[in-house]
Amino acid sequence: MEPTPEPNVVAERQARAAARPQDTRPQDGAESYGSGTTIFDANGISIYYGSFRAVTDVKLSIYENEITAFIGPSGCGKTTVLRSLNRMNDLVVGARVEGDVRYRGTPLYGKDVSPIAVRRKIGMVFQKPNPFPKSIYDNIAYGPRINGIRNKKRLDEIVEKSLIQAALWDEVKHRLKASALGLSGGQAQRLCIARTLAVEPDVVLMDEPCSALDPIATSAIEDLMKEIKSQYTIVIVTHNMQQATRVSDRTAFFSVLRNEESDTRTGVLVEYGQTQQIFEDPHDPRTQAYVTGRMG
Amino acid sequence: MAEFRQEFQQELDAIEARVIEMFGMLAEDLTRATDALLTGNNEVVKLLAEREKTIEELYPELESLVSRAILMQAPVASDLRFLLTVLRIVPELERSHSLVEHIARRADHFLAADLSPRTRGLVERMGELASDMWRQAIDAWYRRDASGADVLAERDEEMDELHSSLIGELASGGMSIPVTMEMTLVARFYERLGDHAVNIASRVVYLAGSQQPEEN
Repeated sequence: MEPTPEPNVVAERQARAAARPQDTRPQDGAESYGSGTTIFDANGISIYYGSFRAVTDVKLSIYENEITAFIGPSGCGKTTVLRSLNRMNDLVVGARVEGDVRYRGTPLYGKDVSPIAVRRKIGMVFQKPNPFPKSIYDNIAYGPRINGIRNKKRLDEIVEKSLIQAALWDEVKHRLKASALGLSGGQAQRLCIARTLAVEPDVVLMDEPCSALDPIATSAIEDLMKEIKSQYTIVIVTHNMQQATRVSDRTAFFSVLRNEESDTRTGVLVEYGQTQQIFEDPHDPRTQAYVTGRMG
Repeated sequence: MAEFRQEFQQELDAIEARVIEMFGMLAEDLTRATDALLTGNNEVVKLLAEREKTIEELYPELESLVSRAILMQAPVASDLRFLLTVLRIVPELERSHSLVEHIARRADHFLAADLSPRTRGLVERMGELASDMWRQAIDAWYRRDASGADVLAERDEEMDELHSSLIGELASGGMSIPVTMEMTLVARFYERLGDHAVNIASRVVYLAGSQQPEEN
């Protein structure tokens, strides 16, 4: 039998296209992966370094228990936006955020909000694994100790649980007292993830966590992200678009806007949507050009 | 703006060129087959058999070019949609050309004069409509125009009506049994050709995507 025509497919697709909103923010509903609760709501934020406006007017919401990927060319401001989500930019002299960004409904840059408390809830994993020059055990126990946990048994539990979550326990359980500096790159990065998880954050921000790792270690981290997303909300900046397609539920594409007259450049959020839509059927020609590799 | 991946773009262009070539052969041969059937001129039968061979060679070649591009280039967005759509429409093109060849072959089996005037008229209309539908499908493909799907679906209803009329005419028993049997098959071939054109236009909806036109 030869296939019969499929008018329904056409009709459905056209109905979907007609119903597509102009707003770049993804819609809640049937296609939402997590609980549908928003963790962050950035409502038109601009981020400056001194007089230089690195990012302009970013509007997006990050959803609970999802992995959100930020992609875009160098200088598009994706890392700057990521760092604004746990006030990491406060540590940069001259950096400031304008506009409203809310974390679980509370203004993140409110006067009475402590950046330290923010970072305790919103952890960060960096591009280069940065284990402390201490034992594996002490790396993990570092945060909980600062938070006042002194009980040895309780600390042991946290160390074990965090290392299991970070898929590192089996590899290091017999050498917890050994220096963390002796770990391989992939192990060191998983240690840093375990260290982030040890303080039981709400959100984990990852800034190119796999760019210094080999494919096997990268797979281990990607599996780990999917494993833990039921308990955490993850935002990842990545240059690896295939990684974004493999791990993320939603993808935000940032690009650079050049102003020829003033010879300045600033990062903008071009398109934000379900990852499959961004990579299969992007709406904006700039997204299309970037994901297909036709422009840098 | 710098254009990257030019080699990949050339591969995609080469695939598109072959698809267009197949489309072209199909549209041309469909008109020829109808002519042959109605005039009894069976000279094209051999020509179409040759073309059938060419298409049978193009089909695996295209498949292998597409597989290679998917494997080596990790395509996404419009590139991915294009390659997947090619994989899906090439079998339709190949089957459609076989149908065209089957129609032409009937020119060998009976004399055009054996057809009743009404049968002749209906076949002529089915042939014209099938050619029209294919031209529209090709145009939709070439322009990546999703609206072709609706147009083709509508025209396919006309085709189905002509098919029913022809079957009714054949059932009335006005022609010899062998000619009636052959014409029943021909009716079916045109009807299937219409369906394939509709399928292709439906695939163009996916191919076209929903990208907004670039602002100038």
